[in-house]
Amino acid sequence: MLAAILFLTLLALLLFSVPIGICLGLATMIVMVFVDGTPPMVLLARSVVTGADSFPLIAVPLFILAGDLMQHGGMSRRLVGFANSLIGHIRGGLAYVNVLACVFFAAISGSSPATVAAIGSNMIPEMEKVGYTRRFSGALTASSGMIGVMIPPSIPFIIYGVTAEVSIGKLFLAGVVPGILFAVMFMFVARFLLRNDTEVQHSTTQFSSIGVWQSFRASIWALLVPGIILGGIYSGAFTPTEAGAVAVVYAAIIGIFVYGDITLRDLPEILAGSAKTSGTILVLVIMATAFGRLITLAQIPSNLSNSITSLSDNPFVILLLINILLLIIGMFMETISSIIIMTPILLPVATALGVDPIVFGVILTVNLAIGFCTPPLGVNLFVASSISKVSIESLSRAILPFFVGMLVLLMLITYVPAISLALPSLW
Amino acid sequence: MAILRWLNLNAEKALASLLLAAIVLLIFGNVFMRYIMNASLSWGEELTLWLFVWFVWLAVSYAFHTGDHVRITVLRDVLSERARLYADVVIALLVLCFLVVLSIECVKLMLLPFVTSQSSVVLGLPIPILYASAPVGAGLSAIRVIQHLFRTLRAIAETKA
Repeated sequence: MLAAILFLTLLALLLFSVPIGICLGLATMIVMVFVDGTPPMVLLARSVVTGADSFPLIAVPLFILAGDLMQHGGMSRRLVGFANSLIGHIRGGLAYVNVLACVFFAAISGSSPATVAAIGSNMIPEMEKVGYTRRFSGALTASSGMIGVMIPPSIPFIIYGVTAEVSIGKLFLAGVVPGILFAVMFMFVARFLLRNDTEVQHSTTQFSSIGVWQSFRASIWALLVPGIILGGIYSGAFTPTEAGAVAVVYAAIIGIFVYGDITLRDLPEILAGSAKTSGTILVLVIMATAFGRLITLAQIPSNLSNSITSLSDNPFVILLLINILLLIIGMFMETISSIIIMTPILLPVATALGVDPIVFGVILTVNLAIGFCTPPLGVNLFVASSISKVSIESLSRAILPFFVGMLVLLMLITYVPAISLALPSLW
Repeated sequence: MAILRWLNLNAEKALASLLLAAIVLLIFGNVFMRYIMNASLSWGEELTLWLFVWFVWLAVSYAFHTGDHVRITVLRDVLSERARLYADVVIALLVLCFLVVLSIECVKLMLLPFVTSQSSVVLGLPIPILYASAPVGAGLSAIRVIQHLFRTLRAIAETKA
């Protein structure tokens, strides 16, 4: 009863385009006021403060700020240049450059739409000049942008680590191999789609080792970022949150004093922009915390996990059901709040099946990241559509071949935990 | 008047930006102290967390000011422009209700004896200061929502005329 009222209210508010954070808070409030036997409102009032009272969570605004500084400071532009000098000369090269640039940018940014925006605004116009359709480039960038949350740093991994109380450092490492696999898959799909395309020029640039060296030297400061972040975390020098602060200071120094793309005067506007982005994400965290506590007190997670496990006792089937459920949630819901709400529900089921919590974090994140690229709520599609000026409907169809590849890799990651655990088990 | 106008445009923006900068410097400073000076600041983590909780609420209000909060617009997009304005009025009223009730509940919580009697572990700061972030942030957000509501109502009046 409580569950029905809660979720129907939430759904109604979401469809009525009330801001998602407020939907979660308001649905919680309505149930607390109108349903008997629910906890008092003081629980909501406490949650909206204690939900933010977490040191690991501070990594979220820090990595957002670091990513913004690196983009304004000229790092993303130089990374695109380096990727282009490496593989721009081969047939269909710019499509591969697009994916490779997303991998590079993912290593300095923790957000998927930010990756689409940074790489798409650089690559989609370039690709159009040499004959790629904007529809193809838009779909490719929207897809490969999802690598942004798989290769560390990653905001969904931070949120999952905070919610599930597992090591954010290990989650970061676990995302590396899946992220690279997705990149390779996107290149294969692009190669397949372009097999009969005579419009696309064979090459735009000649390969030259001097060109590679020059663009490598130009982008070396950006290429060092993952080394500083990951090296710092895994050597035990600092926590993921501290790594975020170090990345911010590093990005500011490189952007201002080495590249000179920004000045001290630009800092207030960049800070304000990052603060605003953080506000839109953190409101989801505090409201989803309140929502999550209410459903936990109402024992909805344990009832739901019981009904999932009663459907089948075959681990293979249950994992498949979890994946389907998460894909559907990813299509309709926002990622951060989905992680906070679904983790307490699904993690006990997964661990009961013997799934490592780290692997489950990767499965959860990949599922929801696929949701970035699917309508009706797919932020990557929205960003790619506004950059490429192709309608969401048209992009959604163009993305289908990539979507098939994502599903294949999702299954692989779900059933072969070694893919995610290869790197973390070395530490 | 000039001060009020500046505050209207910049209050949350400036405060949230300053807090974010302070958080970066505190955390970075602590890393620096630990490795270069071999002495970490014991109060650093607690102060950072308090600043962060306040940052969250001010940033939330700032995003209300700029109208950047994430929402699902699938159904809203198919409405006519007029219907959309009316829908926006209802949405603003719903959000406003939530923010006002939340602010009141948060103030009530702040005044409970078990909250007022507490202070933080390291710095000894009174806990109500931490809890005040929510009613202040929600209250500021409510002001921003009211401003948007008036803008929408004016737009409705203009389309009628």
